[in-house]
This record gives sequence, structure tokens and C-alpha cells, in this order.
Amino acid sequence: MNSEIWTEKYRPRKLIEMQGQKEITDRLASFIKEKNIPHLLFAGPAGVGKTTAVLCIARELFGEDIKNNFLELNASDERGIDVVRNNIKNFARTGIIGNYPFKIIVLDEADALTTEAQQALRRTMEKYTRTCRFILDCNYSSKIIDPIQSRCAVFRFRPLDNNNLKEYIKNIAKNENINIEEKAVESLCIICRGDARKSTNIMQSCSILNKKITEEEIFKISGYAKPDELKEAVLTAISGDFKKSKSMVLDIMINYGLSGLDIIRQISSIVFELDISPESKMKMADKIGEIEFRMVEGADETIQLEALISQFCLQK
Amino acid sequence: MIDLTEKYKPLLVSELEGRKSMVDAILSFLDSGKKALLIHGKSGIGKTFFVELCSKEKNYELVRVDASDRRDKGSIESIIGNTSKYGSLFGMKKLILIDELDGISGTQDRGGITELVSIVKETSYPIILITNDIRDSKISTLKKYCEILNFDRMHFQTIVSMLKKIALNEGLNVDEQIFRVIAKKSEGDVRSAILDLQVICAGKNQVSQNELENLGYREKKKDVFEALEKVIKNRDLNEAVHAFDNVDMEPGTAFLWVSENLPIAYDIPEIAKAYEFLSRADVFRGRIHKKQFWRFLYYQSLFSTAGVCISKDSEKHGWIKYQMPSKIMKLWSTKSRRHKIKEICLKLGKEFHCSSKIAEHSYLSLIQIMIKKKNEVSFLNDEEKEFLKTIKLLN
Repeated sequence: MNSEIWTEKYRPRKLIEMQGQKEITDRLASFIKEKNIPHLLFAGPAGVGKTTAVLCIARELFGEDIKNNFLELNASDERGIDVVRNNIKNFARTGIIGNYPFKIIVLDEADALTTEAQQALRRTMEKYTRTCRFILDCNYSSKIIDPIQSRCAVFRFRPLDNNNLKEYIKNIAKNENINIEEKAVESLCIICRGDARKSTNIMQSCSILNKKITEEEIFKISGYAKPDELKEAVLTAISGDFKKSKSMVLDIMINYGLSGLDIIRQISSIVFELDISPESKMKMADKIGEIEFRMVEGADETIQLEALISQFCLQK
Repeated sequence: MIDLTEKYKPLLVSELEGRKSMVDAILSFLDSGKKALLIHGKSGIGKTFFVELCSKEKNYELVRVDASDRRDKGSIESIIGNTSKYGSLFGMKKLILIDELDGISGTQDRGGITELVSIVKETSYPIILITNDIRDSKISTLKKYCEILNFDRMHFQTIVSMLKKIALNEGLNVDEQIFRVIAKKSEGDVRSAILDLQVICAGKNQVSQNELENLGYREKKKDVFEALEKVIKNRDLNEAVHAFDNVDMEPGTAFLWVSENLPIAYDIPEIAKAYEFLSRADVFRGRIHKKQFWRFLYYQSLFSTAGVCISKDSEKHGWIKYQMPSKIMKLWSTKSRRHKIKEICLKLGKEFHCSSKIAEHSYLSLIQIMIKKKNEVSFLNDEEKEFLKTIKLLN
């Protein structure tokens, strides 16, 4: 275990220690008690405990033998389904070490696999189902083909609510002996929207740079686009200056390292603070929704953002 | 000259001296009462343009047929057969111009050439025919009934001075040597010379000699520019659909070129319309990637070319300062750096149970801070640490 990085140091070791996913962890715990797990599909946003849950299951099930009976693969880094398949084959072929009913293979970011690759995966799952259980992690279960979904018990992880996240943050602060303002905790919750990994990393970065963590510091490190900057960009669009607004938004994305979806979500709350007619607000909200949907379906986030900006330009 | 904008025609007129003999030849043909004149010469040297100019000078009504019209026997007869016999509606003298004679196809335009021969024999108005290749066997009979005029390619110096005028007009500060290299490469073809200039000056006001490096790449860029003209400047649906067919690039890259350049030429409502198409095209692109439905490539390219093309009310005039997509430039200049970062992030991903992508997004900046402040991370080697110290992260 790596203790330099807090996300690892404070990663829950047991299901029962996990914050905010109680219903899920209870059911998972009962699977473990019966030593009988189905294939699992974990869906949910980043940093809410999907991987942690997997690691907990493996640890609680295999204890010392975890190394031999547990395989972690990442779909977005292992190039091609063949690599995935070979890795799985080699792992599944060797016998189970110790007295366990099966081995566990976890495939992280399974939604990065193409439909074709998923079809191949499905056959692989069937082939090794007697000796292996599969746990698939993904952000959107809709991107996983039905035949796989129907073979798995699906668990939907929700973002941690603010109380859970606060508790988690304060626990780390106490253990690391750092001084963090109450206001800083609040804004950390707002910025991270239930993403425990993100909040931990921001907090650790701040703590290296300063003894006392202030709200200012959090904003600076998190690279959270100050609502003002993005608001400015939206206003520029509404004033009809497409090119300027486009470059402002792209700058914000690059400087703060935000994804298109991050931006869209911020914009959707900004719209309601603007001094425009209610009708225009709803029209814009409609466009934003459509574009967010297309962003999930499409390939290039910047194209979709630019399309949204061009729509704002018409709202004059 | 059809591709040259209205904007540059006056510039060309001022270069008339260099081609005086040819203009004179056309004018004296018009005065002579002879029936047909066949002009031949390389493409892009001003054949059509000078005919237009002379017909204006002599007050002729110009009746023209070019490659976009069908030219089988029936069509030719109906378009110019009658014209050649009856008077003009406004009492003007008429001049019939048959452009791009090479384009008359042997199969589709069956009987076209034979019909032309009979029209040339009987016409009561002057006819000017234009072709690139005088030796084409198709027109061997036709030639006998025409006077023949050879258009020389434009002189090197003429092209240089023309390019200079355009650069001056556009407020471009261009190194003298660049004009000369472009003019030489054009081999007398003004149209391509101007396009080359447009390519080399894309998005810049100051152009130094260094720009002449990587001419191989420029060639490719020229193809892109031609495609962009079809999509962004012109408004011909059928042309736009096939604009990128012969450009050697991935559909995704073509996409970036279009989106980068359309805001330069379009106004706001047009931009919004065009982006609606681009956005739809991108959704299809996503479906291709995720489901491997390559059939959808058709819709992706249809929306991103033809969709963008018809989002404007009429074709755009003037010189468009096309730019290279900023995203591509960024990726290019950071290629080796990105490779190293990726390697480090793969390592981080293994350490922190996530993909390299998430590692880059969530951990890299934290680790950079740790190295800078304390230099104590166990999971990276010294070389990797040094590398992370030196770079400024994009995100």
C-alpha cells in the first residue's frame, strides 16, 4: 500500500468503512458472507468508491491470497480485446490458490470497450464462469451491451452526499493534523460534487503548499473555473461574439483542466443567474440538455461545446 | 479564372499590358466577323477571364456553356442552336462562349462535338471555344472551322508582381523570396499561385522564409484548402459532399479543419446552423467509435461538409484566411512530451488502481507539487521526477 498519497492511505480497507454507499456495501457484504458472488457491474461517476468496493471484496474474500486470485485490468489502457482476452485466459487457466470457490477478475472502465470487444468479452465471461467471477466498472451502464448487463448484478453508485464527504474530509484532516477552514471544507464539497478522490487530492496538494488551508487556496489548486470567468464567457456569447467566447471557454478548459461535461454542468447553473427573460433561460436550458446528451454520445467534446456557444449567440 | 474572386479581377486588369497581344487577338476576332475562335492554353492563366473582359469592352451579351451543363447533341442545340440564329432580346450583339471543351464527354454528351461543328458552320454570332488541350482528337474536325489562338502561360515576373499586390492588399508582410518560389512552382498558373499564397499565409500577417520548409506538407495543406473552399466559401451541395474525398486525411481531422475555419467566414446565425450540423455529425462519429458502425461515416461526413456548406445563404466572397486547427498544432508541438507523460501515468495508474487517463487527470498535478516541494515520491525514478519538474502541465 502506498502511504504517500492520501487516496491510497485513506482508501477504506473494509466494505463497512465505506462512506455513502451503505445499501450497496450491505448487499455486497452478504455476498461475501455466503461466499457466493454473481458477476457484478458497478456503474457510477468517478471517485465514489467503485474500485474501492472491488478491492474490499477481494481483500475480505481472499485475505492473504489476494495476489493469486485477483486480477485487475483496465480496459482503457490494455490495448485491444485480444490483450484483455489473453490476460484473462492466462489468469483463469491456473488453479485457484487456497480454498475459495472462484477467482475474481475486475475490468475497470469497461465502457471504454467497443461493442465488438464487449461481444468478445461476453463469450470470455461465459467460458470461464465456473472458475472466475467478473466485476465490471463503468461510468455509464448504458454503454455496456445488454447481454453482459443481463449476466451481471448491476449496482449503481451515487455521488457521496455532502455530509458523507465532509465526514471523510474531516477524518483525513484530523489524522494528518492539518488545519482546514470550515468554509474551505464547504467549497471543497461544492467543487468535487461527491468525488472523494478529487477532494482528497486537492486537500493534499493544498497541505503541501500551506499549513492552513483556506477557501482561496482550495479554489486556486482545484483549478475550479471561478463562476465569474465562465459567466463572462457565457455573457460574451450572448452578446454575439462567437469567436471570443469560444476561445474563452477553451482557455478555461485548458487552464483548469476541466472536461466538457464539467463546463456544461457549470454553465447550466450559471444560466439561471443571468439577467435574461425566463423564456430565454428555459430555451438555453433545453439546448444545454441536448448538448450534454450529445456529448455523452459523441466523440469530440469541444465540437459540442462550440455548438452550444453558437446557440447562445442567437439568444441576444 | 473562375476561382478568383471579384476582388482580384481589377488587379489582373492592371496586368493587361503583359497580355496585350492576346487581348488584341480576341478583339480583332470580334471585329472581323469571323465565325469561331478556338483558344487553347494551360489551366489557370486567364483564358475565360479575358474573353469576359473583351465581351464587356465590345458590349456583347455573353451566352455561355461550360462543364456544369449537359452537352449532348440535344442540349447543345437547345441552348445555343437557337441563340446562334435569332437576335438578342435586348438588341445587343451576342457572343457564345463554350468553355472547358475538354470536358465534353464521348459517351454522356453523345453527338455534342458533331453538333458544335454544324453550329459553328451556320452561326450568325461569333463563337469562342476554350480548351486546355488542342491536340485532343475529339476536336480535330472542329479545329478546321475555327481560328486558333494560343494563350501563353503567365510570365514569371507578372505572377510575382500580382502576388505582391494581393499581399499588399491583404496587409500581409511576406518575404520577397516566397513570392518567387510560389511563382516558379506555379509554372504560369495564376490560380494555383494565389492558392499557394493563401496556404502559406494562413492565419498569419508576417510570413518569413522559414515557411517554405516542409513544402511536402504544404502540398497536402493545399488539398485541404481546396476542400475548405468547397465547403466554406462555395455553396454547391454536390461539390461539398465530395470535398474531402481526395484529401489524404482521417475524417476526424477534416472535421477539425472545418470547425476551425467556419467561424472565420460565417456570421452568427450561419455559425449556429453549421454547428448544429457539426454537432450531429459528431454524435455519429461517437457511434462509429463505440459501435463500429462504419456505415455511419456517411452521415458524419455528409453533415460536416454539405451541412456546413448549405448553412449559409449564399456563397462567400473574398479571401478567407484559413487557419490550421489549433488543437492539431497543440498536439503536434507536444507529441514527445505527451508520450512521456503517458508512460508515467500508466505507472501511476497501476499504483492507484485507475487508468492512465484518470491518473493524469487526478494525480499528476498533486505529484508534481510533491516532487517540487519535497522530492520524495517512492514510485517514480529520478529521471521521471526531473521530467515532471520541468514541464508545465496542460491540465
